[in-house]
Amino acid sequence: MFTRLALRNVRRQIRNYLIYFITVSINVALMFAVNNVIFSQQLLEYMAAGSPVRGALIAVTVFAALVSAFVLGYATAFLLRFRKREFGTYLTMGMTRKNILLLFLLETLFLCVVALIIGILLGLFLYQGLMALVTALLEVEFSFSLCSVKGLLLTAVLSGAVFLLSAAASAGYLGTTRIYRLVQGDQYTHHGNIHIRFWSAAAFLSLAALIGGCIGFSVFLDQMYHNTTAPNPVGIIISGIAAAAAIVLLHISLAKSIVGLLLKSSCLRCKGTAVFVLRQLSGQLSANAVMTGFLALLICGTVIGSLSCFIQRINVKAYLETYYPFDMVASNDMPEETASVDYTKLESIVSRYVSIRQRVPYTVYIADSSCLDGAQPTDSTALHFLRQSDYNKLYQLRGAKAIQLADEFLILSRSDMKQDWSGSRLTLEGQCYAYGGTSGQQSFSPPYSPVLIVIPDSAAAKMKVEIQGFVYDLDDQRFDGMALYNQLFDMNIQNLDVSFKESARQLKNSSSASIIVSILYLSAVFLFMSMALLALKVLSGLSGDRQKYRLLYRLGIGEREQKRTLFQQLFSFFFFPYIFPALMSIPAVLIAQQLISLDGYGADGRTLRQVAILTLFILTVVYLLYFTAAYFIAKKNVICHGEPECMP
Amino acid sequence: MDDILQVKNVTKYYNSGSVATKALNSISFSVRKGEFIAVMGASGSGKSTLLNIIAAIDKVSAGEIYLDGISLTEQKESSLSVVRRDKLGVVFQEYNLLDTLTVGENITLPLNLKHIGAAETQKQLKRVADALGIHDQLDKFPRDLSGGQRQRAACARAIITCPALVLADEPTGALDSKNAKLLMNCFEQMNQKLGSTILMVTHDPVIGSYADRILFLKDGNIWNELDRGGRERQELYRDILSVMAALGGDLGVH
Repeated sequence: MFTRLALRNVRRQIRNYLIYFITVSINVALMFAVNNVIFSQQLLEYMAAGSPVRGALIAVTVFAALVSAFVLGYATAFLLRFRKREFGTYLTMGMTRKNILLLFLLETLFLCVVALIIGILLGLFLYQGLMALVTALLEVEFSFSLCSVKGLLLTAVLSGAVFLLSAAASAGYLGTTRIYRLVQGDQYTHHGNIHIRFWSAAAFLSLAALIGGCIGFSVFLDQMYHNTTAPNPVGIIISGIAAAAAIVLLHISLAKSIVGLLLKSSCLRCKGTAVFVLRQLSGQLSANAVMTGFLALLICGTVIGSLSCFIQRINVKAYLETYYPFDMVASNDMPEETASVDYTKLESIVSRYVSIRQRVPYTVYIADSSCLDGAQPTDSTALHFLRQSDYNKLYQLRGAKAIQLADEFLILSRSDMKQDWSGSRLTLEGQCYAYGGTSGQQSFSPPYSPVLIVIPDSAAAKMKVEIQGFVYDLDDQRFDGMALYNQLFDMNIQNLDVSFKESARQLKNSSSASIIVSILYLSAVFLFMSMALLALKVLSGLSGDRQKYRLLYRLGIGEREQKRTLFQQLFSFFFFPYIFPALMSIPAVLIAQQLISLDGYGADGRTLRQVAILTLFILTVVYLLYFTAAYFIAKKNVICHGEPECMP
Repeated sequence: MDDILQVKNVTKYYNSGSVATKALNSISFSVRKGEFIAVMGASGSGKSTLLNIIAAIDKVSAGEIYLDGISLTEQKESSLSVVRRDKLGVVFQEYNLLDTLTVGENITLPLNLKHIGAAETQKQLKRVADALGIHDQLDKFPRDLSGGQRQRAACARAIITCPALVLADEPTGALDSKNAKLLMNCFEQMNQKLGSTILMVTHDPVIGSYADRILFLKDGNIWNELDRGGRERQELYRDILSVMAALGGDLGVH
């Protein structure tokens, strides 16, 4: 009997279940796509750090599933409340709470099974899209990817777990809610304005704290980057937590005060149904103040998450540019002239993977740091030098112009080294050299010294040789740098110290891709869950709204005016937790720009703004989709067209 | 004759599948400006249907209704909303105050819908609140008031726009006898002090006896009509009871 009744209820309630259904389907689709990426053999073969990446991504999907279970459990309580009168009728007919719970669970089970199937079908396309993104991040060629059985199983298990957890939440709600409350539901009534001053002050303080938190974050970030000896992230963490708490508190206090303040405007109160809308909004916002605060935080997380993805991507490019200016650098690993390396063997192995276009020899010299008067590049007691002729030959590979030094020296450092060299003087073999500027190129060697001092060839004549080696210019084709690196490591060529840009790129890309996929996945889950919560919250209050709109109709408010009023009411409630997170993208872009700049990678403000605008655009589209669905369901349920139900 | 409401040969059918039920059978009557008229009848006599049709929330099957010179039967739904807003004030049995709005906001809502300015709104609010003795309740929410106070607030809302006609649907139905009497005094004040034209539907002969004229409905027809004609309320009450007895005594007298 329950099965038949549940099926009939699902058919009858399909419009009201639409939001729940869409959310579960999208959630399953996202989960399915990410799980298949996790178990994609094609990617695992490529990803150098395969196992830890897979473990981390599984942890992310489990976490996202827990968030979904919590939100869907919360959401089902709204659905229960939305149908409170129906359940109240069942109770009065003699059904037990267990019967109602069973009925409700059967209904949601039917929906979830259908949502699982649709979600997986949708996930098949999403998976290809995600694979296209991941392969683009890994800079490998995209090809159609097959789904994995393990991915499918993990999706089914996690979806089952989400369903069971949300079912447990429904059981808890039905088990503990009094019959009277179930039948009566929530009463959204704004009672007076005795706390408006308090909450207005709290909103003002929260806004100040939010601005202070953002400024503090920026200042502490700057300090941390400039204090290279003892970087202290405590200030940044405190500022970040303060800003996050301020966002939540700002929304709570605004939810409790803004409508009260607007209601004080006698001009606004006289405009049509404005008072009705404001009072409706006041009740809804006051009752859901904490929820809107946390939703705003989640939406902020989505905006910041997308910017973090971009920063992560910039960092990979900039890291490679900074630490690997050349395709391959090989040298002796001992600081002695005697340590010889079999470069022929090295080159024969490399040639199996990629063709060598050119090799340029170089020599690094060493001298005591006391020879430099002024700024010191490191804490080390030794300084490393490169001859002008070597510099010209090497950096010609990167398109740099040749330099000509006369009684002066040039600093070649990594871009993340911030030091003022002006006024420094170098004394070698009794000859003085003045500071002749800093090269725009990146230092490449040795790893234990980020700074090389370029000197005239004559100055190095009697200096001690530290390292001798070759810089290689390789063909532009992609090759498996990790495999080459591992092969060289296995062969253990004596005295060889070698670094490849390609293996570093692969390593960085794989960790970067997993971080980006995790952030995007969590952002998407947060976003869809937030939207679902808002939409279901709106729907749960419809039965009360229906009575009010019928009264408005009887008072002479036509269908068009009712629709406008309902639109204003829902739009204000829906977009309340969206406005500040959208505005927060401005300081977020500025801080991201600062972060990239501090990393010495050159801030690309325009692209950052584009990323933020794109994120806001996607956010707005998803918001509008959910809002439109909620509005149409509400309109169908609430607006009175003069049908018999509108009669007194 | 200065008629505010003219009901001419109004017939109303309700279709339920293949069965059509006649709720009103070619009813005709008129209401003069400043008149207080009561409509009485048993359940199913058609009085609620009549009220809904006059309130422009239901349509006639045949006949015509003119409210303040405007034909309700020829108007579109959008125009009927304007008629409801501008020409009618309605007092319902269950108060029908919006629980999210304060009493003052409930009362001024019809003025807000007409986009009347803040100063004029406050002036009108003071006028009706003083007349009905609810000026100290304006900042409260409906749930903080007694049933009688709520109904007086509903009356204030009904008359704040100075409508051509105030419709009252069993206004004392949810009140005890003391509050019912207070409310009817309120209706008298609305009628006599503020000049409101009132059409009230009721079961109760005591409540009916406050009216100037009483229409008795039976099976969708006007079965009888009583006019006060300068009589005291007690006298009219006795006449109502006589008519009800003749009607079959099935009006559900309290």
